Amino acid sequence: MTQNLAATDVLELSNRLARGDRTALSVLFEAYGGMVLATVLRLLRNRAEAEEVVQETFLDVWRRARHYQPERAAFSTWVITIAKTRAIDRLRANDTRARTVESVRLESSEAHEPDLDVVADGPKLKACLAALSGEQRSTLELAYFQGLSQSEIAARTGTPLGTVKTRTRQALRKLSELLGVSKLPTHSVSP
Amino acid sequence: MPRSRFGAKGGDKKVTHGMKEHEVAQHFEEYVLGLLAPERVAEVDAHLQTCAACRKDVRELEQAMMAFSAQPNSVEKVRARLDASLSGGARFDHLIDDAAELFDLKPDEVRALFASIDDPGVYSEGPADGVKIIPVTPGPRAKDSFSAIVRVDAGATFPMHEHFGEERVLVLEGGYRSSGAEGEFWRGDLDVRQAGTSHSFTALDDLPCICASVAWPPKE
Repeated sequence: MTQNLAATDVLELSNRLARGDRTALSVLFEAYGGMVLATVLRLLRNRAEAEEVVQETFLDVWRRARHYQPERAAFSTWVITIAKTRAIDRLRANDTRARTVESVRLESSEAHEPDLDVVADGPKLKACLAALSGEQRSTLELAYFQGLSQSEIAARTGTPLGTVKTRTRQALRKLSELLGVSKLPTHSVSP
Repeated sequence: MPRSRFGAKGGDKKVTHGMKEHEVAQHFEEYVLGLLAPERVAEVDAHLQTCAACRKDVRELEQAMMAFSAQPNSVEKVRARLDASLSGGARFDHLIDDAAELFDLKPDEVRALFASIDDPGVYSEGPADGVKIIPVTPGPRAKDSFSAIVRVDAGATFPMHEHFGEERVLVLEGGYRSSGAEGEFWRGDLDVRQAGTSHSFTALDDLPCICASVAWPPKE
């Protein structure tokens, strides 16, 4: 999220991106790619498809960067809007049950937009992440950022599959408790 | 946590929609991470449609995932694919149609031209230091023009020149500032200069400026 990027940096990066600077795209992808993936996963519930949508989204961002209007929306909002539109299109195209599923997932993804104040609170997030055991954190990182399946994590780390699954569950549950996300009000996406 | 309602030891066998609730709940983490098989996803979806407590549980997990996802880190598989999609001339793919129209060439011919754009060996020296040119043989409609790819180093200036006929410049990468009052032109912009005008332009500081240019002779 943006705890590592000031608004002025984001503006400068979006301008460089508009001019075709791939380094700027790389920095913005590192800052927002994980968050965009989380957003898309909430709609598609499928890692492989969600990764494709994130890739398509950032290719769109590359092509359309000249049309981004900072006075109208935060850069993160613009990117997430592109991602959501693509994810919903794919949901409708793929899923015969789309109408019902879509409404449930949209209710989840919009009426209860994850609290980005929590996300933007860098020190708090850092403290919560530090409270996870090294194994819990690294398992979740392998699953989330490296995109490894539970079986691949088990093979790579020499850990039984059941243990990998338990660590993943415990990591998410513990993070949820530490962040106290259920007690906080919801907010829309902000820079 | 709502999950405890399902009995951690598997004692609660309440059936909902043909599913044992505790079985559904044990898949929530994988569901949230997108790691569940599609048929299982459908089962969880069906359950969530009727169970507010489980929806709340899933939302809390989603928020934890969202928080985790917000670390400055890279989604590696996507980054690798993104890098491959934009490597070399492929980074100009979205401008192929505009350039094909400008040069009156077929899209594949423009793609081949763009594929060589990073090869210093294809450039000729231009009219000033830091300015290089690839002459382009255009299609029939532009056969009387001088067509070229022009590359101006970051911060370098293409010297003052007059347009005897109309000139159209499509910015492919970077940007430039014209000596006139027109401001800056960035990637994707089309700069149309009328016959009889003159200007110099300077590439912006961050990137070399690469343009597709078609300059027409004066109309008789």
